[in-house]
Amino acid sequence: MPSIDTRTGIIQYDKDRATPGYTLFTPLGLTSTFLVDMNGKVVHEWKLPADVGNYAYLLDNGNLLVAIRTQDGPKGLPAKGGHLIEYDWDGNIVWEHVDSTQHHDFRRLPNGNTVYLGWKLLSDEQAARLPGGLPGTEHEDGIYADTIREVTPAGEIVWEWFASDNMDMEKFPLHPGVPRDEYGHGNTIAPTNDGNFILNQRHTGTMCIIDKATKEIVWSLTDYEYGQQHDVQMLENGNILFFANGSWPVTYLGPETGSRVVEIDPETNKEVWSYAGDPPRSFFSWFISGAQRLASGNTLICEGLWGRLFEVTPEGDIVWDYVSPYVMTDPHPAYTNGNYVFRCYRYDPDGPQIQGRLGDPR
Amino acid sequence: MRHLQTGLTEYDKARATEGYTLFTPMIDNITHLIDMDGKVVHEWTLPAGPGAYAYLLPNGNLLAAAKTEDGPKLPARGGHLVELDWDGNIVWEHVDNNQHHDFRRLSNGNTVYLCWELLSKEDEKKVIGGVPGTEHEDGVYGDIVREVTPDGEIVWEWRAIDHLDGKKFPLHVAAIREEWAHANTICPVPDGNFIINFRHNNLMAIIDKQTKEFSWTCRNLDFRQHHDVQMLENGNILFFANDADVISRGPEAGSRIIEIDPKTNDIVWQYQGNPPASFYSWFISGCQRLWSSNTLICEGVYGRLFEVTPDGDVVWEYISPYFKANPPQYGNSNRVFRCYRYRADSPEINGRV
Repeated sequence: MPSIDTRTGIIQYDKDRATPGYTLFTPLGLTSTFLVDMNGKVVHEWKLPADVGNYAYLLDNGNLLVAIRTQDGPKGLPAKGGHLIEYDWDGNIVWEHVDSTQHHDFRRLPNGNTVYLGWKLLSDEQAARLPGGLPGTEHEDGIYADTIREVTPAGEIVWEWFASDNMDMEKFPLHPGVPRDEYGHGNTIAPTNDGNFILNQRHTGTMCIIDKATKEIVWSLTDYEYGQQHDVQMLENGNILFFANGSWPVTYLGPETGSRVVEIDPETNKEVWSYAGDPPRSFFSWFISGAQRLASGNTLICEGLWGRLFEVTPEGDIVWDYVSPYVMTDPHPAYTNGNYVFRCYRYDPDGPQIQGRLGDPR
Repeated sequence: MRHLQTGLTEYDKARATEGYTLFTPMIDNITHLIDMDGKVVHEWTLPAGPGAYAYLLPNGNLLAAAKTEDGPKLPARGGHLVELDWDGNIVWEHVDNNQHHDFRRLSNGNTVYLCWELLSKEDEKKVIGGVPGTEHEDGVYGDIVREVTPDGEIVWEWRAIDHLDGKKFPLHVAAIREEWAHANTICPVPDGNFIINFRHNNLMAIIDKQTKEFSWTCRNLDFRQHHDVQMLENGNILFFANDADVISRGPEAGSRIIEIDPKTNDIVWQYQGNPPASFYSWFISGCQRLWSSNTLICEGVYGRLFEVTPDGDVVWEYISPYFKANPPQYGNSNRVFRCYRYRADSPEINGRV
């Protein structure tokens, strides 16, 4: 058997220690969102009108929220969505919102509104001022900076934040090795426990918390050692959990040591928990990817590059391991022949998302 | 997800090219020769860990560069060139603490190798490109190609600072400015000249020995750094395209083995993983075109040595089982710089196994 693990489906399942539930994921480049049980069997599927901006997730009302890629909007930028859709269990559209600048992330808020990341071009003056990145690699349109937009169910914008205006470019420059087509490739927007927003920008290497009232950044961490991050989130305990990709342009040392999932205490920015592969570079996804802390204390990890969804105990033992068998075969600029997955989620069978509709997942 | 399997993982007896495979794990100081079943049939202990690799000479001896204590703190430094006979006795050696990466025995009996010189502050100004402020604590080290006689006398030298034009071939925008320009390959070509490869300005070139000028160059940023650039018998150039200095696209495109026609610099053959990201080594690594027309590939980071047919089928695969966290920042690693396959009846093996 060749050294590249070509197995798909369930690789490992420790029935005693894995957290029972259903796992939701959307293969990049394909047009379905799948829900699998603990044995890797597909138990529910939503068919999508086009491929996803990145991912989908289940809301507390039991519906699916997803971003679908539209044709309008900035060309050639990664993780473009544009059409936010909420589907009920049977695939009926119950809400939608179109904003062709939407990319990467989107979340339903407790107040019923939806927040998402978007793009807005820097002015010429701002673009000239932006430090860092590789000279001459701007987008043909200029530099697309992140925006955060909150809309009501009726689609009315009620709150906005702009990296162009609300982010100090000197304090948060682009990493020297990244392209200057974006300021700064935000890939996560999520609500915090106290009504603020946490943002992660891949190309400035910065995770930060934005105070909703003042639009100020009240906490931030930029540490190039993490090698870019994805899926930065605040846990119930107030700590920050994220996927540290472990990769920058490799003329800087390079990602010899692999990816990690890291939990830090934002009071001190010290690591309180982490997971790494053994050997380290056996767990490595330079892009996409995510992590979810489960109620059991285990962590579900999406090793996006390999379509691998796996669950580890706090000690780092793998108790569930599943590899997406869904390979993108159509020609695609980046995704052909890959089984990439951006994020995945495990849901309790009796929780608000699944609502007992599927029975026992084991 | 890559396996943790090691040793022989694939062997198509009908299609693999019979012979012995030589490799030196970078984490220790032992060169191993294995048979097609992955069984070790011979070993050499080097005086110290490899600067990068070792290979067998047509005289049946092993030529290696071992790390010395002194010399610049830079990657792939060797310093102690040693020729070991089959029983591990040192039959020739040459110490040059600035030697790095590559070294080759020439048909005239001399040895050519890469080494560094610390550039003067004046000369540093000729080093264009790269990320400002990333110079080595000592300054900027320029590459030198040095040819020595068996007595160690330098009979030919080529200095990158004199002949590599910074305006024409600047450092890649994301490169660090520690070196001008991180050469990682020096290799003779059939007509007595040298082929050289620089990692940090993405340049492969042929140096005319007489004029010291480049008689051929290829600088294609799409190859995204390369290693083990060599001229094949058919005159084409074969190399390992790491697919490093990723901008935003990243390694889902994977590494490639590429063969180009130097008359046009067009790609005439290439190997890519399926999916592409499954074959990826962002540094080190190499390739060898075998007498069967298959290609032996060293996917350095993963210690993976494997052989592919021209159509890209994997017919032999071996993962180095030798792991160590050396140096610690690389984690527990089994990385290998290059590997070679030799026939049992070749002058290198000479029927001794």
